Amino acid sequence: MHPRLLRTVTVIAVLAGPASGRAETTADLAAGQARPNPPVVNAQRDVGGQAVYEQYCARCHGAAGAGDGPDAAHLFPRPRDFTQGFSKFRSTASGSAPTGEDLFQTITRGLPGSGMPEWSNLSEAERWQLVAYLKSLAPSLAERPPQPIPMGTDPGSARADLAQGRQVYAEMGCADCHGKLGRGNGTSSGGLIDEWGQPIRVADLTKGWSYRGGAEPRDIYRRLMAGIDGTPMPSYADAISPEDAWQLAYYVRSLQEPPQWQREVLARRLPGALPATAADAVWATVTRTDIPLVTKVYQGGALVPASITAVSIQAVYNADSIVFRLAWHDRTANQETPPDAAALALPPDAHRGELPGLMGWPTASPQPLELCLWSADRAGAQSRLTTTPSGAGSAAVPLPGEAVYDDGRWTLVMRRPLQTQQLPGAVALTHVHRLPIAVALWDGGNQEQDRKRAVSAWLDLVLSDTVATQPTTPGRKP
Amino acid sequence: MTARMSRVVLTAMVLLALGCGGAKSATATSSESPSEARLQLAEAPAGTAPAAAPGTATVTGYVGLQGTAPTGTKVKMEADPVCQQQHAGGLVDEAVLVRNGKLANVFVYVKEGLGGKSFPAPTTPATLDQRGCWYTPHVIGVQAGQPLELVNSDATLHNVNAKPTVNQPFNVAQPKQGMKTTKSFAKPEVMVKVKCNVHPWMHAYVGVVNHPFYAVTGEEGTFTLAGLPAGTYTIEAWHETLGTQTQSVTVGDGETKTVSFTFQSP
Ligand code: HEC
Ligand code: HEC
Ligand SMILES: [Cu+2]
Repeated sequence: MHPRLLRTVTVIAVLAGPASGRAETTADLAAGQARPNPPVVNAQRDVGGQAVYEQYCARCHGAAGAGDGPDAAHLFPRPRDFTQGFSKFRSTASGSAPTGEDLFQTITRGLPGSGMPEWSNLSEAERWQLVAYLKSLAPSLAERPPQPIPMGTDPGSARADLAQGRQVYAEMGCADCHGKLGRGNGTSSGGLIDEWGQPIRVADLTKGWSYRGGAEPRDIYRRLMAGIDGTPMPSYADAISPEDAWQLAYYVRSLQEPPQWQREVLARRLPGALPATAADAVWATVTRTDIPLVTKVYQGGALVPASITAVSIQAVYNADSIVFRLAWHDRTANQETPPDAAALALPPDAHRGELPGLMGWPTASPQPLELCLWSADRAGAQSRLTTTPSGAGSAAVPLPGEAVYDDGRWTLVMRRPLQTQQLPGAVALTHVHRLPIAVALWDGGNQEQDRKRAVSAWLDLVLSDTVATQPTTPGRKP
Repeated sequence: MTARMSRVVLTAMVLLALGCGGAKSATATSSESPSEARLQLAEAPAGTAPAAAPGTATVTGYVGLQGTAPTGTKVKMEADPVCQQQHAGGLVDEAVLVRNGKLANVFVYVKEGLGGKSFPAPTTPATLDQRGCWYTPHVIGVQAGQPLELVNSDATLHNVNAKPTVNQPFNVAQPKQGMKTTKSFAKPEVMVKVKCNVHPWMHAYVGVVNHPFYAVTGEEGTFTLAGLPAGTYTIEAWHETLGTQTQSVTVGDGETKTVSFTFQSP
């Protein structure tokens, strides 16, 4: 298949407009005949685009493309309303239409970190049909044709000057929104609303995996120069030279922290004392596990997404205790009501059968769990066996440690005795080699409390060697 | 002729000049200290020599407010020290700006009645300034196709996020003091809202019409649409929170008619 050829055909179709079906077909055939390898799809192209759209896209983007399909209410950000003609991820000047290639890329790669799937399994021909069909949904796009941004010359990694890039980052005020270290916590990052009246969050630039438009310098360059229309992210095309923009793009890439996605948390056994602080040097030597969090929360049937999207977990232990270190990004430190908070969940002793997913717990399955709970309004963390997300009303065992907030990041350290008589029914870690754990995080700044929170799936805490060798593994959902 | 009258006439001449591309539109004056509370006032257009008029009829009047004006809200600027520094005494956002019952920042323009007549767009830009983390003027009129110069007079980042519905939207960053970006709106649209996302309190309105017969009321609440061809017109007065009102008026050559609007305090 020849994508370029198809594209030419597409352009003709769009110019002809959806109303003039007959003229289009003629134009297509003419275009097709003029070339050695006519694309097979041309004759019924528009109809084809619509059919593919209805089959795969309408459930989210709506039958008429207004972003109101049956699944739309469950997505944050919401699916695009194509009829309004806004396109976020372009290679063209702010306000001008995306190129067909831009749309083709979005369809092919999807928008990671949003509900928009990738469609690389559709044939190229089908994807180009979709491009043509999407354009026909926003007639206003034809009035503001794509004005490509200057691409300059990519200096390549070898000639990227990160110091220069950092300076441009400061001069351009990126930190106002994205924060000094790119954690999405700038002074202007709160309360932003997008063009569709929905709350919008500034991108956390350290999470390359969540860049919707791609995490490579080339993608970042485009975002800076073109802006992200429909959102607060402006175009810098008039403010910055292509040379500086490339340096900035490389600098932004250097802010990305490659995630260590793992299903296990490998706790390391230390011979002597355990670290009591978040900054202890030993943490640099301990395997880190990054976990994406589920943020879908409904209140009164409406989606009210939780804001924390990932957490990093580390653990060390000795013959006496285990210390967990959790780190996550949060725009603001909230001591007030509701406060920022965290919970590390463990199954109770002798637990059998499936563990409830934290998202539905305790409503869906009111069985007790052990929660190691920390809340920014209280000094010190506590462990409780409880059937409520906040642990209210149950006996508590204090967990020594600390919580430190620094430029958009919380780091929490909690020490739990391997076994404790003070908390009847709590699991003894002296006997286990593998134990399911899960994490819940509350962002007070996003009005999160009780069941409104971000949660992880259950994953395995693995103790590198058991303290007393007698492996028992409580049951868990596979 | 009373003092007020002569002022109105002056404004009228300015408007004429504006319509024919000779004058610059409302700009911020340096005499207005940015720390002054009433920053939301649109400056009356200032200009030089009047040019040939397309007509000789004039519609003039004032916009009043009945009832007590709502008290303004204090703008919270802590997030950006560069902004706060410039408003030692604080800044009050007065959406409804009233003095002696007269309402400022009302966009008054000929909505209907010009038929198919066309008026070439001035090539001189209108200027929308960002000064003290506030748009000056707060309400501005331009002709479709006329250049609109966006200026950042502050040593901080602003972004100008224009959200038209019939025109091409844009969202441009102005990270440096003294930066200028020129944009224009191709089609009439009343109003285009412009805002800054770095400073959520910053917003302005641009009234885009395809003729030179528009004005923004100043502190005295007056407006003058001069140089009109004789005819019957629908005049609309637009206010950001109080809505719109229209009136019909017929003027002959050389004639001046008075049309006044009264908005109701919410
Ligand atoms: C499961 C829901 C879902 C389905 C199915 C889906 N999308 Fe999307 N799509 C989204 C969401 C959500 C967004 C908005 C993401 C954002 O704003 O960052 C989006 C955005 C887009 C965009 C806008 C990109 C931009 O630059 O603004 C395009 C184009 C798009 N989708 C095309 C398609 C096509 C074509 C299909 C069918 C093949 C499709 N989508 C199917 C959820 C979906
Ligand atoms: C006025 C606030 C604001 C400023 C200033 C700003 N951004 Fe953004 N930026 C945003 C928002 C909001 C998003 C998220 C858009 C979305 O969710 O669709 C974003 C997204 C991004 C993304 C992610 C795009 C993707 O593919 O998902 C990158 C990269 C980025 N910005 C870089 C920058 C850089 C570099 C600068 C400075 C030159 C900058 N931004 C200035 C608000 C801003
Ligand atoms: Cu601003």
